[in-house]
Amino acid sequence: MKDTYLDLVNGPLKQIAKTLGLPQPVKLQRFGQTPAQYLSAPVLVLGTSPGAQRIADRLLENDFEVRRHPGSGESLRAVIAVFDDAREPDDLSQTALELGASLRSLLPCARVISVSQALRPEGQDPEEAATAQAVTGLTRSLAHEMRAGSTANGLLLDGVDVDAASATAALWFLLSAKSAYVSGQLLTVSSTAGEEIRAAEFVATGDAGPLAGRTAIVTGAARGIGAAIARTLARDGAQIVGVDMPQAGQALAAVMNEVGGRTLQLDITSDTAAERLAAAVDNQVDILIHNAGITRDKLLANMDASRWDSVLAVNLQSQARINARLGEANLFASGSQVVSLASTSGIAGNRGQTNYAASKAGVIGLTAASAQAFGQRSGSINAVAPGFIETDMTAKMPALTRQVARRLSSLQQGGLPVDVAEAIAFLASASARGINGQTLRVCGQNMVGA
Amino acid sequence: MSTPHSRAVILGGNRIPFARSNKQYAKASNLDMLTSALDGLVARFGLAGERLGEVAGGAVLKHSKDFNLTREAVLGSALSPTTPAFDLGQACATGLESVVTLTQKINAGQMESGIAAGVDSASDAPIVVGDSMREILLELSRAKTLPQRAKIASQIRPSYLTPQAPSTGEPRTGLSMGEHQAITTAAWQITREAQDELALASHRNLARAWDEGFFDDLSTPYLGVTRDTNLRADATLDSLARLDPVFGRKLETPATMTAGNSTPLTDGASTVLLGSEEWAAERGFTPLARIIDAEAAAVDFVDGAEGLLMAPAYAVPRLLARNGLTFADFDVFEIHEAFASTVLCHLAAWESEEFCREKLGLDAPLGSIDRAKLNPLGSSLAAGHPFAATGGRIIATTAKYLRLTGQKRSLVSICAAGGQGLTAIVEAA
Amino acid sequence: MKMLPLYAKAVLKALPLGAAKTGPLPGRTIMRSVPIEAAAYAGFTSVVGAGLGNVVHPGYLHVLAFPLSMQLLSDPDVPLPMMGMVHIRNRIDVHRPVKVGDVVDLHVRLDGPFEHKSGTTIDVLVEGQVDGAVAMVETTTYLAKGRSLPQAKPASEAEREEFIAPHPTALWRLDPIIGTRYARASGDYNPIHLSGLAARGFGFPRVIAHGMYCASRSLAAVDVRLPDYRWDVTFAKPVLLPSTVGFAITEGRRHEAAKFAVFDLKKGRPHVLSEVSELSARRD
Repeated sequence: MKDTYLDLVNGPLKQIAKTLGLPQPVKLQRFGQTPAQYLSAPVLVLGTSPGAQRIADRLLENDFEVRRHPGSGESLRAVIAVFDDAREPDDLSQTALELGASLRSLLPCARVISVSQALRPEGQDPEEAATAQAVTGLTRSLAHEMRAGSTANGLLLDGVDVDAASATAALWFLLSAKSAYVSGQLLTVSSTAGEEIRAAEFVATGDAGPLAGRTAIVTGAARGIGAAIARTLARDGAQIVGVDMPQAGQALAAVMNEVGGRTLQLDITSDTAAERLAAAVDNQVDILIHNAGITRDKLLANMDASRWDSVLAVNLQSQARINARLGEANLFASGSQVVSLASTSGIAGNRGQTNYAASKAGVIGLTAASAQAFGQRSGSINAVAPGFIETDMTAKMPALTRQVARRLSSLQQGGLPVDVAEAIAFLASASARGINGQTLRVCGQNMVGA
Repeated sequence: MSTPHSRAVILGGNRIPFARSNKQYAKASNLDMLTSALDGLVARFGLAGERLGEVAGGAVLKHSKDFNLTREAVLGSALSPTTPAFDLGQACATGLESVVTLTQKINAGQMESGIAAGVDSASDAPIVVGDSMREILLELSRAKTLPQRAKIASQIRPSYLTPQAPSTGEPRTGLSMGEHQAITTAAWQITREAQDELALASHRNLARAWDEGFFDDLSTPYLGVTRDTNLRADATLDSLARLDPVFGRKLETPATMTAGNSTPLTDGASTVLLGSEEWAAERGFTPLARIIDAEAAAVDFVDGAEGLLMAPAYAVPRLLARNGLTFADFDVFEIHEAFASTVLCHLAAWESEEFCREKLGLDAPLGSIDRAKLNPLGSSLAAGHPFAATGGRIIATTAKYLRLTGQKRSLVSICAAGGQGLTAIVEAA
Repeated sequence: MKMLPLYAKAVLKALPLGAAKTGPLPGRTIMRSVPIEAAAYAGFTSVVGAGLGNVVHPGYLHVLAFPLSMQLLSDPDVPLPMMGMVHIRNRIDVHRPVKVGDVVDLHVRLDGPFEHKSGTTIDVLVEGQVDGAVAMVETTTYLAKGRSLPQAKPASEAEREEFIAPHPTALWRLDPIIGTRYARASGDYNPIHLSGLAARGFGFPRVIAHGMYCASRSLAAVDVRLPDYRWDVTFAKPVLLPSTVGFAITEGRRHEAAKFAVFDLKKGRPHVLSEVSELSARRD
């Protein structure tokens, strides 16, 4: 759905919107749209820890312009605030304030990334835990203060240091245009699993792309977010097997022919779904994206069994059963990566969506609880929770509700299906295997669920 | 292990669900439907942008502008535009003839892969005016003055403007296929009840196959149609018995052929992916089955010496003899249901000592066919019959069925206009 | 040759002016050499549904001789009015195939008059030669209904077999324009085939199809492939246009000696009965 307001305030009504103090969303720079001067602009790495230096070195190795001290007056594409050795709240002060002082130098659509310890109550003393958790508050609030399409996110180190392959990959993701609609989020790296990847490789496409040589099954691939996932994964080099209901076959075929993929017309709630998915990829499921989902909105007071049951069956039970069957039958390849679609409704809840939110919250639980098994196979399972995404589904919302929903995010606009797809492509990549059991929101830091 | 002469294997198929004419596909041309069926197949096998050996296809009812129908469909599809294509035609056997022809090309080592296709629209059929109108139009175009034209135009009668309905008749006899079959039906004394029972079985079998998802990887929806629209899952013998006969009403014998036990005019398209075993292996495609042999036959129906649709009754015994097989060697019989009575006449002929002796020159009848093995997934009575698309539907269906059930051999038989018939042996790969 | 003036002359002759003649028929033979041109022949084959091949359909030889026979029949010395004469029988013996491009030397004369139970008949005898050899011999019998002539010779009339309508092996939808089309292809512009008014003037409710159209189309349907043969045609009830008629081979089979019929589907009555027999086997 076209966001006319976004077009107007970036065009003829720019001045009026400013004068009236109306929301002024900017057009986000997405993958392939980043201006050259942005790419050559420096990244400021703040923090005094060895970890901060190693990040700076890593950026330099990957041909970034790097600054270690604020105040040069240059325009910045990103600031990375490294708090990895902060053990008490006082340790935060200097870096936090330097970060604040550098914010005015940020280009539009710039990035702020905090790097800190994850909260591990069992492994941290209270002060360390408090310090770790404090960074998340800083990051989330800063995200609300960002302007002009810029984002703030945090990288949480859970028992690993900044050199972990997935920590590096997460940096590339958060620095790149692929994370355009991700803001206010904290991404936890919990193991050293994952393949090292250079920044240039991270943004390469096709046979050189991060998913080259891998096969991805995408359910619900006929349209909307699923189609965008198929396109994005294919762009990154994956062979696609697109799955959708037999009734959606014509649209599915069009998408698969566009990306050079294959179709599999299948009802994922059927008893044999797991076996048929596996059979489509020679019984070696590598990347599996559980995207298929339905909504049957109704206030709980008016909810009937068919609405409740069908939503739970498609959105949650099918995923659980397919994962279980594939696992039991040893049909997951080594290093297999699953990414499931959750929803911000599953985090914050949403009026009229008790069934949907239950299913999506369930996915978050399923993902967390499945992490260990996937980790044992050297793989990973994660979820992505989209917020307000411009799709056929949201196009059906009442116009006013839709306008309000768009502006409720820190980026003051709805996301695009490709924004969700980018997060999924990242989490499905070999370099991200150190991220496991997580749910990453792609919501522009929507108030709902934030 | 295959001999070099049987390296071609059937890898799968795709069709759009068939729709009764002048309904959902009324505005779709042969080219539209064939392109869509091709695109679905290409997507199922991930062949977008690939150059295949050749695509062969055709339509029975064809516009003159569609002289290169199959090639045009390739150009409109996701296949590489460097994939060659050719049109062929053998009336209702066009689809099967496409399969057989490409199989032979692959077996001969001429190419490694191909798509056999067929399509027909009875809705978007070429409008053909009768000879009378044609004569007047031609004369009008030659006339020079207005009075001349007025005089010529005054010859036009309203009845001349009625377009000739598609396939209403055999060119040599002017009789519709149904009227021809009605004569054969009467000659073989096929009862109304037997025809209705066969029709019912066709609907039930096809409905079950759809319900079980059998066609999920053999079809791709088109224009919102997700199942064959002619299918009546709720048909009963009673509901079939209530229909009035539509053919053979002028015969002395009671008319038995109704809209329920005859195929309706149908729109649709089908495709079959064929490849050499090596080509399939390179791409990780699982061979389903292969065409072992095929036999065409034709009968002289023009002056009534034989029934128009009886050619398969002659082709099958020749095919069996050449391959040293009997009915007992087959697990499945896919006999195209142009009319329920067509199938029943074939079965009766093979059971008839007289027919087998006098017409086929056999010492003994060919024998009976176990009805449980006949059209186990339904056939044209339920699915409809877009003429050239029927062969592809049957081949893809039976190939998958053999693979799925672990059975070995299927006999495919399709009768065609002009007194022709094409039959083939399909074996699990 | 222009046929319309001939018909005008014939109409005049049909008027009751003067007494019936009692003398013999004109005894002269008209001769004319006619080349068979592909374009004109194609006009004929397309109307009667014959394939356009090299061997000429004998119905076309009848067409070639037709103006000559009209010329003879319209002779003032012929004691019967040409207009209103009914073509009741036609026999063509094909001795050898006539080919497109051949020049046919036609010799046409009259024979008769003969007695007939319904009046008096006159035969038109046509001999067609190609390069001096006889290729075809035709006898066309016309009946003047209700006329009797004292000089008429007795003639044996074969009893027509009772016709039992078979199941049609073909249906022919015959539109009124068939009359115009065959007239153009054959040169027979008899108004009863062209105008409903004229047809009513001769007692037909609607225009009627040319008898030889039905006969020639029948022969084309049987697609005779014998080297020489006799083609006998008996015209029963005329075909009113438009109508759908049945066709069937009643004896024998396609390409060979056979009997075949064009008949009324509803009443089961015959329109045109034909028989093809092998000539070399006959000795009459």
